[in-house]
Amino acid sequence: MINLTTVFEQDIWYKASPVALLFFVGKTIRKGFEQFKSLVLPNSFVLAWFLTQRNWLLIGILVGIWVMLIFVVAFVRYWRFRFKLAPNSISVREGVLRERQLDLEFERIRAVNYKRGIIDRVLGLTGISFDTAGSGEAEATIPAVSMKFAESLRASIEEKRTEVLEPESAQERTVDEKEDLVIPTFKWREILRIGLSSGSFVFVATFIGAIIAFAGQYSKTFDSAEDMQTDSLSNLVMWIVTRGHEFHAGVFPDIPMSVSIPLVALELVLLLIVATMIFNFASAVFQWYNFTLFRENDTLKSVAGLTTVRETRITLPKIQSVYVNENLRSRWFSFFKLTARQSRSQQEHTLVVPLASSDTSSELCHLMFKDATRGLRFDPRSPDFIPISPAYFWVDFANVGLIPSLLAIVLGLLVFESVFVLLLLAWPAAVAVVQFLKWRKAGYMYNETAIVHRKGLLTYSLVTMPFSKTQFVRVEQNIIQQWTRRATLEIRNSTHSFRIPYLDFDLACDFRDFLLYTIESSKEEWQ
Amino acid sequence: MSILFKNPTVPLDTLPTVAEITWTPVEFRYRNMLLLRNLFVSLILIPIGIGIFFLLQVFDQAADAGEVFEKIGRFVVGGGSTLLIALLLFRWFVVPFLEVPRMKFAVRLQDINYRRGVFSTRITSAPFRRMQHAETNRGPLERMFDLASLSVYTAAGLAVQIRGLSPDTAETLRDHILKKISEYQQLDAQSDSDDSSRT
Repeated sequence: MINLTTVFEQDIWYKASPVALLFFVGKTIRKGFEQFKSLVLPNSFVLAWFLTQRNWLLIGILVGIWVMLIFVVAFVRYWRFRFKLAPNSISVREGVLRERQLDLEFERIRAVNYKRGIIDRVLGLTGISFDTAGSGEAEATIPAVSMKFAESLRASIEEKRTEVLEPESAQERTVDEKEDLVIPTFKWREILRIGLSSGSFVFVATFIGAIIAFAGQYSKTFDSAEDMQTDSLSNLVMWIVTRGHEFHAGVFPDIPMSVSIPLVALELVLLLIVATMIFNFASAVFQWYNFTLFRENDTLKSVAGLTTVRETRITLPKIQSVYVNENLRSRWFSFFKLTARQSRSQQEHTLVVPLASSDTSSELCHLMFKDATRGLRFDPRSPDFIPISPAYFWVDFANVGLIPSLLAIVLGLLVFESVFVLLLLAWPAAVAVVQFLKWRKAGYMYNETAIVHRKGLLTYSLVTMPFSKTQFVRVEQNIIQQWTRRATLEIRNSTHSFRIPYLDFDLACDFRDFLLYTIESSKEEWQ
Repeated sequence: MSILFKNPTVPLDTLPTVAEITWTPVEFRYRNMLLLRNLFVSLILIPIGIGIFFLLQVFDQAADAGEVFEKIGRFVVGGGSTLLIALLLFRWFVVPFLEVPRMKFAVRLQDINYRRGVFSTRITSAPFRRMQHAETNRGPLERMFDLASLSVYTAAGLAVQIRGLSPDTAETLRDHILKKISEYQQLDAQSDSDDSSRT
């Protein structure tokens, strides 16, 4: 057992704090649920049959065994978990049946993140996780260590990592280290805006639907035996309508059924919308409460969360791309979600600012890319964006919409000899609308050191990267592009593929040569 | 260390251009390898296709399908399969004759370039500065035709895969790339230590 108040000793295998048992219980439940999703849910007819048997004793015993198994496995996991610190690495040993030891060199660690649940916060503890470039998720996590311990461990990792990479500047950094506020703490107003423009409507609709379905099923038992014989869906609808009508009749005694039914439907939709809004707002509060963004030298740190406080760090020179997105709701509130990525992973090595105006996005990008994006404005409606050639619209419209539907109509008329196949003309019309919207939203702008790519269908999405992050470049020409002397330029970095279609061929080649020159003449090491 | 490189505007016409480089074609026998491979594939797929066709016939008769379904069946099985077979035969036995002579690569001092494509051409340029590792592969057919392929990886994944190289060329290229990667790593380390001593 480690003494959490003192600095760790090296080359000793430490056990985690007993509080870490909760972490392992959570981890085991999550793993169990993943297996449930992959093994049981695909065989849902077996599950459905099992539940219809209503053998509550058997179900109770199975649930009891499951809960007991979770605690036993979690305890064994906790018991076998060890970590060790060496001068230049950290090792984690874990596993129940198969022991796994992970040795992480400090120089490979890209970010050290904290995650604090409510119990951690009460006890002054934190979970600490380490990200590397090669992993899609946190490579190792040490649960329930004291904040003091975590801070000293992080400082030690940073110091030793810097010593390896930049021996001399390490000393200066420890002297100069200071924390600057980049985005002040979000207030309730910001949280409300995030809540109203995020979250999944489908999930809430399914959830409410399931509750109503269950209510309908059980209402049958209390109504009459005849109801049991009727179709469950129509029975449910009738039950809702009857109850709704009874409620309306209580307020307006003379209300006819023909008015009551649409009113019930309207009330259900409103209920669904309100429930979605409440659910999304609650999620936003849990996830983004007290969101604050700091800068510590070349590191950005975000802190957020109500019960579980998550602290994410991202090293500025390692950011590869920045994404600025809006959805239909955030567009109405005039803000964007900004995501900075170090790797292709959607979760780790990623810093998210859930609410940023166009100006804040621009400033953050300038900060993240050390002014490489200076002069580029992150306003998707900016006239500075260069539009894509209309050929992009016409060619995709012809390839996806017009030619397939004309072929299908000709063949359909020959085979079926019916004019109804002309209904297939609706397909190119739909493709034309979608393709037109995509073409109107597509665009790009660049300066000497960075590029911003704009795309979208109903809303805008911007992605930016400095040229110095380019990994390789590609110039493509299909037959039509060869005829029209145009080309598609693809710029790939480690997180994104920037495709600019229907550029002038010579411009695409010049762009490619410039990018190669930029990389090959640069003395800077890629990070 | 700053990621910002000081790089003012450079006149584009002074830059070395990929358009001017001398391309080297891949080995011509790669075409024969593709034809043999495609013959194997077709020998496996054609009996499966014939089997499905007969199954559909049997199903059609057994189900006593209505007129509309019969027409759809004839349309899909007849028109679709004829078109598919024609396209596959074209792809398997005609395209290699056009494709292989157009597969070319060029190694410059700072990068590797690879161009391929019959109807749609594609030139990929990968600088040595960004390469992480390179590997050569030889499958059974490639061994039979004394060929090898070279794969070059960057942080963005597979950047270039050149098929149809002679094993000697592939290994020479791989060694050259690995040497270049090592040179750049040393250069970066040197640059870091120079920066540190200056500060």
